[in-house]
Amino acid sequence: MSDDDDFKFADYTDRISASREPDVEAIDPAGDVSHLTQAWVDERAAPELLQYQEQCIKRLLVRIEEQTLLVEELDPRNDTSVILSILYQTELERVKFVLRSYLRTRISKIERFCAYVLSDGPTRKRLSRAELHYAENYSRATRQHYQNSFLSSLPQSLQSQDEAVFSRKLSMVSQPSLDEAVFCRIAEDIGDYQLDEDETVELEKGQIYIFKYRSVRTLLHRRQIHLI
Amino acid sequence: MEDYYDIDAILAEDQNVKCAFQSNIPGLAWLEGGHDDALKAGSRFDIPFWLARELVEHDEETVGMDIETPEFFGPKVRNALRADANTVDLTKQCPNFFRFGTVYLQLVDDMALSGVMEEAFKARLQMTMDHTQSGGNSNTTDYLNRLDETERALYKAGMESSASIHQWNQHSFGRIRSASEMLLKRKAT
Amino acid sequence: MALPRHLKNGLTPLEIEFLAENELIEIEAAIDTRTDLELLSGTLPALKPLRTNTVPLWMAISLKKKHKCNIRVPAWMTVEALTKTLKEEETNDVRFSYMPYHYMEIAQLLLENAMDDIPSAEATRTLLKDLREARQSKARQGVHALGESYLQMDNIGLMEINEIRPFFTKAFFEIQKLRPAAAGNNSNNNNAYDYDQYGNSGLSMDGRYGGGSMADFDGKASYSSSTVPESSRRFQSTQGSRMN
Repeated sequence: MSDDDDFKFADYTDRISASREPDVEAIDPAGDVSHLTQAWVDERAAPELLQYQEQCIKRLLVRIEEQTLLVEELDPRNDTSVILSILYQTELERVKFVLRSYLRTRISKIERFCAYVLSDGPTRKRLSRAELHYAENYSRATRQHYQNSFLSSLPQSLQSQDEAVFSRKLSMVSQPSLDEAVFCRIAEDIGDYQLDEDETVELEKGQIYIFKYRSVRTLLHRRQIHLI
Repeated sequence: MEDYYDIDAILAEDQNVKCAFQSNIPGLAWLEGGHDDALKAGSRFDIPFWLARELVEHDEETVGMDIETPEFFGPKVRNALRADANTVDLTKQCPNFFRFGTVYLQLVDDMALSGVMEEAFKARLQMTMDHTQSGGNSNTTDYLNRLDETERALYKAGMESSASIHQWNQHSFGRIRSASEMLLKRKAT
Repeated sequence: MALPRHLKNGLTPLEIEFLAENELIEIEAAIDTRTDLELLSGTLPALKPLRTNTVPLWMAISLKKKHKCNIRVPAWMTVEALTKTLKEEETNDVRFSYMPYHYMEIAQLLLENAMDDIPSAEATRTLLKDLREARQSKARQGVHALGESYLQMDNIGLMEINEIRPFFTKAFFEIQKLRPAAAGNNSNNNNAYDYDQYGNSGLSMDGRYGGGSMADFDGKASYSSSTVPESSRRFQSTQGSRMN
């Protein structure tokens, strides 16, 4: 890249920070709402389960409760208070929506890859306690259901639900496909990044790419990129 | 990794391939529908691909067998794809052309074929993409009929997202509006 | 079902609109809240009439519906700015010109809810439509580069991404699946993607200002070669012809 290019790029990133992302941090010092929102979008786009955002959600749940009390204390006879109340409630609903959709997205993945989630150490660690509990119950319930409804009438040798066809590395246990492609946006300057053994790419804040999920998954886990 | 329960992969592997056996094989005559015990050397007949793969992978030493290149992977189709991939009717050739190609090439070493397939797939992508955004005219129907299953799935995915944005743009989404708001709108017009 | 099927392929347009509503925008309030706004996402200074307040778009729209504010049209959404951007968009065949990440959603929300704050709403609408079409056809061109190991599309908006997402990600995945068999074939670059025209690069759709010719942007994507070892393919086909 020539100096000239560097100059243009600086100009370009300035523009991004100036107008593309007005400083959301200015009104969201803790960053929990935007943090959760991004976690929700990431979770929707990633093929695998990501780390549960425990601390962030814990804090938000407390704040939601406080805020609900605050709204109740507003004077319904005062016009300004009524407007404030509407604004506060709108925001409360927005945050609750994100939280619910986030949890539902995770539950749908837990159900889809249940046996894998429970057996794969790293994935298992990414669950909350409630999720782990749910996964275990779900696994037990479905196994029991399959057993009762048809597996019990098959020969013993055909009853297994977690065998592997070794010759073709094919397992009965469904797992997320990490080779899927994802769109992502670079969250911070990363510099040269090794995509695979013979491919390096220079990642700079604000750029948008399509990558194979597997090749950028560590960047996502470190939150250096956002999925979109 | 493939999904064990992927029905499309299972269907793709059901494709028949012609196999030629080079030696007598005891106990396999039933493959040909025969009653004798041994399959005779020189026999040639169609078996599903998944079975051919089992025979090849499990007993490479003893089963002397060739899988013949299916006609839809033959020189005629290759040349047609090289010349103008968009005009080739892949459904007529093999409804699971690309998916079957993928599993076929995992077993059979054919560099040239994989090159042809990739280039053909890419060449046809552009046209498929364009059709997802141009809506359904008669050209589209003709074109769609030539797509294989993988391409159809792509087309469908593209159509759905394109349509959902269009709907959003046209406000025809079921947006929740209060009755008073609707009333105001009606009065205004 | 924990998540309905239609939600499993990325975000929906309405969810993207929802995200766009978090963007900040300037308003002139018609009320005096006297106190700061204690939101979950932080504290906003009190709204005062005759003063510019920066608030999230959802709040601006909520106030607007109650006739409690006027919304300032963002600088990029004026007829003048859009005309300029459209020109750039049409002169550069490859890169997307700079537009905010949520431009489509913000524009749509404002046209829908704050028409009277937009000086020439009809002209704005037409320009946005032309701009969108120019960018849409550019996004389609990205298909050419889907065989690369990655694809860079700077400055594309989120709603625009959503439109091409299912097609692009699936196609990208399918090509990768065809690829393991394609080892050794990579010197054969007679593919649809024209390497000479774009330099040795992938399709970079960044909206850098400052001109330069089409071949001048940084090319990083390249053809990635397959990694499947030769030994995994152990069977040779015969070129026999079929009988029937």
